[in-house]
Amino acid sequence: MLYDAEGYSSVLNFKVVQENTECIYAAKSRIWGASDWRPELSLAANLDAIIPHLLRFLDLARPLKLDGYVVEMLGPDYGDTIEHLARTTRLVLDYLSEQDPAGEHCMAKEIEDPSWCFAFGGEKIFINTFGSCYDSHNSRFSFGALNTFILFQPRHSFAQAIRPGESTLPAAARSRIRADYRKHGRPYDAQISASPFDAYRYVRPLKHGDPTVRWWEA
Amino acid sequence: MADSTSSIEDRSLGATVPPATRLVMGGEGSAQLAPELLNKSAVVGDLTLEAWVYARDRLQQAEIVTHKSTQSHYRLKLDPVGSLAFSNLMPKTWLMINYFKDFPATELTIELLICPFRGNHFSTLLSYSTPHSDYDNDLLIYEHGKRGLVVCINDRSIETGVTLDYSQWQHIVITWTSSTGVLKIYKDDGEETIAAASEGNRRTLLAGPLFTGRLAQNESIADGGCLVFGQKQERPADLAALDIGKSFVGSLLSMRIWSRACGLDELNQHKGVWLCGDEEGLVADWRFSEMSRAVGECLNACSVEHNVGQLSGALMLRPVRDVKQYRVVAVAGRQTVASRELFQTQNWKHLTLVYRETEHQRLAHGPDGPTTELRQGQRLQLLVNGSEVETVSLEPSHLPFDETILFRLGRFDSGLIDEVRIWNEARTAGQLKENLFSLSENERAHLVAHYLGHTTDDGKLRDHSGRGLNLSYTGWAAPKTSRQPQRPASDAELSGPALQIKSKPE
Repeated sequence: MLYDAEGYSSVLNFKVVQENTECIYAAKSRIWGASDWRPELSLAANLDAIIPHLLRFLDLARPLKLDGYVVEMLGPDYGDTIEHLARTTRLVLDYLSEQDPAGEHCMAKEIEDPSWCFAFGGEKIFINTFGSCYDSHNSRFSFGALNTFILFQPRHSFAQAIRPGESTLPAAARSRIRADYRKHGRPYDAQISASPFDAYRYVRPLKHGDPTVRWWEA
Repeated sequence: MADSTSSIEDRSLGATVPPATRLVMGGEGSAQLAPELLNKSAVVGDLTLEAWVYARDRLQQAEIVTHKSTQSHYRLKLDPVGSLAFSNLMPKTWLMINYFKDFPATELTIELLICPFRGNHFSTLLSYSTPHSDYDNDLLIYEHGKRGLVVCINDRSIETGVTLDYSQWQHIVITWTSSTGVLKIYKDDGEETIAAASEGNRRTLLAGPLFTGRLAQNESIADGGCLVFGQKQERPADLAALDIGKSFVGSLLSMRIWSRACGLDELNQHKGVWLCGDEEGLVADWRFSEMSRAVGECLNACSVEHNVGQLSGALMLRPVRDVKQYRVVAVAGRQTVASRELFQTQNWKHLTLVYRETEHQRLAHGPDGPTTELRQGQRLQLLVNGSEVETVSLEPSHLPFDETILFRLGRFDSGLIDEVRIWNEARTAGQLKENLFSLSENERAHLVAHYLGHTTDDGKLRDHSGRGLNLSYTGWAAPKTSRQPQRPASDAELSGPALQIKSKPE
C-alpha cells in the first residue's frame, strides 16, 4: 500500500485530541489512520475496507514502533450520545471479532473476566473511544471534533513506556497522568480505573460515578 | 564529585602534577591491572577494602573490586534483589519448595508481593500438594475470572470476589485459622499505592480485610508436601503435569509464610520489611537476588538449609527486575559473606570489607592429657557507612567468578564507584570513621592502591597510593554534565538507615 498512513484525514482530524489530551505519551505517539469513512456504505462495508489496513498496521506496529490505529466514523449517530457510542463500539468490535483472521473471536468469550481484552489478528488491543457525547469534564473529551474516533492501541505499545528492567509503568508516571487530567477538570473515575475488567475502560461513562457502560450489551 | 581542575599531588614524583581528567567510574566500563603487576595488588594477611558506591534502581551487574591471584583473593560486589517474571509460555516458569518442612497445619498467613498481568482465565498463585493425601491440592489459591481469588483447603473452596490489580504491584495477604475456619484476605489499595509511590513514599499500609469468610473449619493441612508458586500441580512435584493454561502471568517480588494468622497491626508492621528470619511463627521469607537466581534458588531469611526455593530453568534465563534493593557481598581469604540486611538504591553508601587473620588458642585433648594449640582463624567484617552489619556465610560456589579477571574495578551497571582504597592492614573502627570522607596524609602507610577516578598523562586510571598500580580502563569518561549525584561530605549527608530491618532479639 503506497500511501501515507500517518497522513490520512482520520489521523489529521484526530490530532486535536492527540495534542490536547493530558496523557503525557499522546503527543509523541505514532498513529496510523484508516481510510476515509464512507457514510453511504454500511458499517460492515466500511470495516471490510479497513480490515486489511488494520492488519498491516498490526504486522508493522512492533518493528516500526507504532502506537495506535485510529478509525474516524463520520456522522453524528456514531457517538453523539453515550448510547450511540456504546452501540457503535459493540458493532465495530463484534464485526472485527467475527472476521478475526487469528480465529480468536474474542467477543464470543467471557468479557467480564480479568484475563479478557480485545484481540484481533493475534494481538491484544486496548480500545479508546471518543465521541461528541463527552463534555470537557470527561477524560474522553474530543476537543470539539464532531466525529467519532475509535483508537486501537496494541498492548505491546504500552511496554515502550516501561523502563528496561521494570515490570510496569512507573507509579510516578501513572500518578502524573491522573493528576494532569484532574488539574484540567477531566479526572479519571477511580472505580473504573481500579476495575479488573479491561472492557469497562473502553467506553467511559459520561459523568463521574455513573455506572459502567456495558457497551458489549448495547 | 570534585571537578577536574585541581592539581594532584603525586607521591612518586614528589611534585604537583598538572590537572588530570576525573572519570565517572561506573556503567558498562571497567579498569584492569596489567598482568605483570598483579602480584603488587595481592594482599596476604590482613586486608581492608573501602569504596563509595551509588547504586541506581534497576541495578544488574555490580562488581566493585575484584582481585584473584595465587596469593590472595578479595572481592566486593553488590547482589541486586528484585522480582522474577512468570509467564504462560513454554518453558514453564515456577518456584518450587519440595518436601516442605513444617508447613503450617492449622493456622497460616501467606503474603505475596506481585504485579500480575492479564493472562489466563484461571491464574494460579499457590499450589501445595502432598503425596499421601486424598486431595489434588491440599492448599490452592488462584484467581478465576469474575469469582476473584478462590482459596481451597483440602478440596473445600471459597470464592472471595477479591480481584487482582493488573499491571500494578500489590501486597496480598491470606490468613486462615482452622479452629474457627475464618479466612481473611487483605490487599493494597491500588490507587493509594500509586499515589504514595509517586510521592517517594514506598510503603503504604493495609486497611482491614477485603474479605472474611469461613473455610475448612477444624481441618489441618498435611506437612512435607510440595509448594509451587505460579503453576497448578496435578500431582505433587510432577513438573510435566503442571498445567500451563492455569499459570500465573506477572512478576513476583517476595513470598512469605507464617504458621499463625497474623493480625492487621502485625501485617503492617512487617510490610515491606526485610525480616531477620527468627520471628515467632515465620516459616519462610523468600526473595530473589541475581546471585541466587543464577544458581536456581531463592533467598530465604529463615534458613539456608530448609525450604529452599528452587527456580525453573526459565526463571534463571533473565535477570531479576524491579531492583530497588541489594545485598553487599564480600570475599576475602577463604570466606564469602553477604550482608543479612538489604539496602536501598538511589543513595551513596560507604562500604568496607575488613579481613583479619587471627590467632587463638584452642584447648585440645590428646593421649597425654589436655594441651593448648594455636589455631589460625579468619574474621571477615562488613561495614556500611561505618557501621558493622550482620552477615551470612555463603558457599563460594554460589558466587560466579570469571577466571580471566585478575584485578579489576567494575563493571558497575546502573551506578557509580567513587574512591576505592585497598589496605594491607585491618583498619580499626576509629581509623575508618576518621577517614570516612577524606584521607589524612599520615594514614597512607599501608595503602596498597587508591583510586579517585583521576587519570595519568598516559591515559590510565591513576593509583594515588604511590605504588604505581595504574589501571587501563575502557568505557569510562569524564562527566559530560554536573548532574551526577554528589558524594556525601559529612555524616549529616549520609543517607538514612538500610531497608528497615527487624533487629534480632538480644
